[in-house]
Amino acid sequence: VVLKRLSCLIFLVLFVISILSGCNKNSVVIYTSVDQNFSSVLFEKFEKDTGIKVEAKYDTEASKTTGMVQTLISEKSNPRADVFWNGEIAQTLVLKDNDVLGKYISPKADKIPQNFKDADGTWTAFGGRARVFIVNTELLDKKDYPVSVVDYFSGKYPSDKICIARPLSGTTYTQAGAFYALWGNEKGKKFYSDIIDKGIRVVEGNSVVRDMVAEGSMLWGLTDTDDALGAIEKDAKVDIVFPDQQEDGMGTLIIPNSVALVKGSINADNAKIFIDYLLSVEIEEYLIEIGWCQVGVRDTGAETPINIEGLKSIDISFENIFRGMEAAKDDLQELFVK
Amino acid sequence: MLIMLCIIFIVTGPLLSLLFLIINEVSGSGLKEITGFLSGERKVTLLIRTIIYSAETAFFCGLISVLAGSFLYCVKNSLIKKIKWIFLFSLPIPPYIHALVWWKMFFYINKFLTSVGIQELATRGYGISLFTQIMAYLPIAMVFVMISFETVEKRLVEQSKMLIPEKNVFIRTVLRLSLPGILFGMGIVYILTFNDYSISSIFSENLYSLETFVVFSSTNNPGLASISSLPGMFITLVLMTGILVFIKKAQYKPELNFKKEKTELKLKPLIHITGIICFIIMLLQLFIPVTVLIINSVDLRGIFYSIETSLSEIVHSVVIGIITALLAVFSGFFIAYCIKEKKFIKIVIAFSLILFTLPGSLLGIGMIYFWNNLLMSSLYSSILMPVFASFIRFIPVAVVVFYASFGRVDAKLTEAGRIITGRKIKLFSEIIIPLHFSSFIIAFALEFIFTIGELGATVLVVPPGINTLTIKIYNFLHYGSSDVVYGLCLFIILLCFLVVSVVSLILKKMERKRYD
Repeated sequence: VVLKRLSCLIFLVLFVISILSGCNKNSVVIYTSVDQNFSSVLFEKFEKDTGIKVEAKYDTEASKTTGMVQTLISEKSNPRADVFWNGEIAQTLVLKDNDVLGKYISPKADKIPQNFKDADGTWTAFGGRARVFIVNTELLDKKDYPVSVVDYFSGKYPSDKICIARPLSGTTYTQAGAFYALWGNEKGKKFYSDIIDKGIRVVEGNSVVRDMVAEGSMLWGLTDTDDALGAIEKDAKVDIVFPDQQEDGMGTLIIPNSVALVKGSINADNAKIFIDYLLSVEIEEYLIEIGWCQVGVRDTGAETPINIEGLKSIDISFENIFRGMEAAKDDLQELFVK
Repeated sequence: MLIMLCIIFIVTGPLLSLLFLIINEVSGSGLKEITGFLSGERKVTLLIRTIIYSAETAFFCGLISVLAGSFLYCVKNSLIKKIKWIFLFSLPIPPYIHALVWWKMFFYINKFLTSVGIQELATRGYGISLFTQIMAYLPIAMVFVMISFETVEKRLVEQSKMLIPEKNVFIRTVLRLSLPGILFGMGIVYILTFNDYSISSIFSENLYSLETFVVFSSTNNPGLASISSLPGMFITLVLMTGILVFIKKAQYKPELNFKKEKTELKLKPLIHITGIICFIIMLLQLFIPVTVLIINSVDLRGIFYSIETSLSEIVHSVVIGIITALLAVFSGFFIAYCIKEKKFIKIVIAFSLILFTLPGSLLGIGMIYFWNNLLMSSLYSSILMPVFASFIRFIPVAVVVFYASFGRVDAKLTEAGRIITGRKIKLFSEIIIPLHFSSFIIAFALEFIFTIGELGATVLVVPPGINTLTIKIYNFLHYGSSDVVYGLCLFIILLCFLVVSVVSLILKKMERKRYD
């Protein structure tokens, strides 16, 4: 009986706590896959500038945005989020596909090129990252740096000393989608089966690629600019190389941030204020300044941490990349999970 | 009955939501697609390899813990006896951090080997992955081994010494009586390994849990991901039920004898030597990760800075951890009592055990579908969601700890206490808690530590504005702030140590009161 009473008391206390914590305020609920150390700084700035409280929900690298996207899909019938700020674009397209996003065309996005905006107005992309080689400068001379993704198979480097993140989620999966869309399914599959056959080191994620190259256990690998710059900031002996910049090269894959209003948002007005704020030129500059974005999608005049002048990017639409990802899904699973 | 209904509601609700998603998936995609999905050769091979890998991890963790435990049980050195619980401090380190730390260690070793012209160790593949997995989960097996040894009645050991040669007493009496607890610990290690791909991924070894994650992330279909996790859930259900049946059959009725009496026991020379070797392995599994964490945490100022900037996460984690542990301890005690008394409850418990093997992310999705509706809106936006997530995932641990405890404590003692004390609060504080003293501490400590480290479900259901230490650690891990990550890991070890110590002291005080 005592046990029952104690348990009843615990349940009652928990219920009261829950009711109290569920009260509404002048706020905006933002779900973000952007690294907390960058996004939280921006949220603080937004709170200070607008007086609107941000209730943020973060994702982790471990769940590769999938968890957050699943949360948004699961909550579709009773949405809790007002805004989704994604550190990449592919999962935003998944949300559009699942009818989770509302329509909002921000006036602040007028200078953003059309291919970085959804034709239906459900999402807008802005400054982002690029898929680059991170190279260990102590182990490789500049003349030996890789120049193209096909250098994985050039035979110039010991295959167990070059690495790639497992292309099953995150930006590595997006890149696989781009290859499939660009080269076709057969050539796309061959690229990844060659990675396996040649014994190239396949690691957990882009941050592991960065760490392995920075420590010197790998010569080079493909990663994101934010990861690579993180290593440079910590004085690691590494360099960044934009792949496929030759005259006939396909270019480097740029992965922008994207922001969207959630359909049925409770605080839609505050959500729109946040989206406008995030898409402003000043904030894009600010995100470049704090190191979250390395590549702008419009001329902001901000100095980027790496030289992107004349950078050739892969000429392909995000919708096509998304379709490429769908095509690559089963192949990659067969190849990399066995 | 009301309490039981509440627990069933919390625990089985998300499971029913997932079941609904599976049924929906089956009716939508057709049974053919589903059977094809389950019977692919690659998936079957992966599943079998994962079962073997998990079984090997559980076996070696059990073996090393038993041998190291045997040395600690019989050792005469008072200093070693005093520090024997020190091994458990590495328990709160997240498995992924364990993997990173050992990976770093292998890197240093290989650097040294190359400098002296010896061939490098392989840093990928089955062997190295299994080694790291064992090192990461050794403390869990060790908890159960040490508790099991400690609760063996010393009188029985003394009686055995008179009947059989002393060198055989350990195996034939102590080990035999401890077997249910040891097996349960191994079962927990098996399940945790089965559901964890974070360690094996670092060493390029794929496990079945990765398949579930990939299905989940590439299809965005929780129904299909749930179907993918069904084989694992089924195997775990069989395993846990088997362990519960074994525990029930192997029960004996000694009095709880957790302190004071000492038993001198000699071991066979082979067991003694291997015991010392395993004791050294146990020391390594603690000191290597902690040393690497300390070396990589830059300096004390850096650690203090990480703590200072993570104050809200620390508060949230402690609150979630304590509420979950309290809820799980009392519910676990209550459920174990119900299982013991009423047979029909077993079916419900067996059903709930499935959740123990469900990947955290799927549980999170099930919880969202179940709780996110207009009726339970306030609950869904509250701190209770991460509490419930850990409660559901880890309640079987508390249940089995108490279930084994009921087997050890003579029911007549509780009955006698009921008659003597009269007052129910007195009965609870002065008779029941002291009688199950060790189980309360162990259940609380395990629930708290597991909750602090929970990520898969928490990251999905934690309400906006609330963050936990583990989420922050994984976020910083991506950013490459390994110094902050390692500093926070050290802090988590300290935090778990502090919270568990405070609870132990409170319960010990209650126990002492009973003896006085």
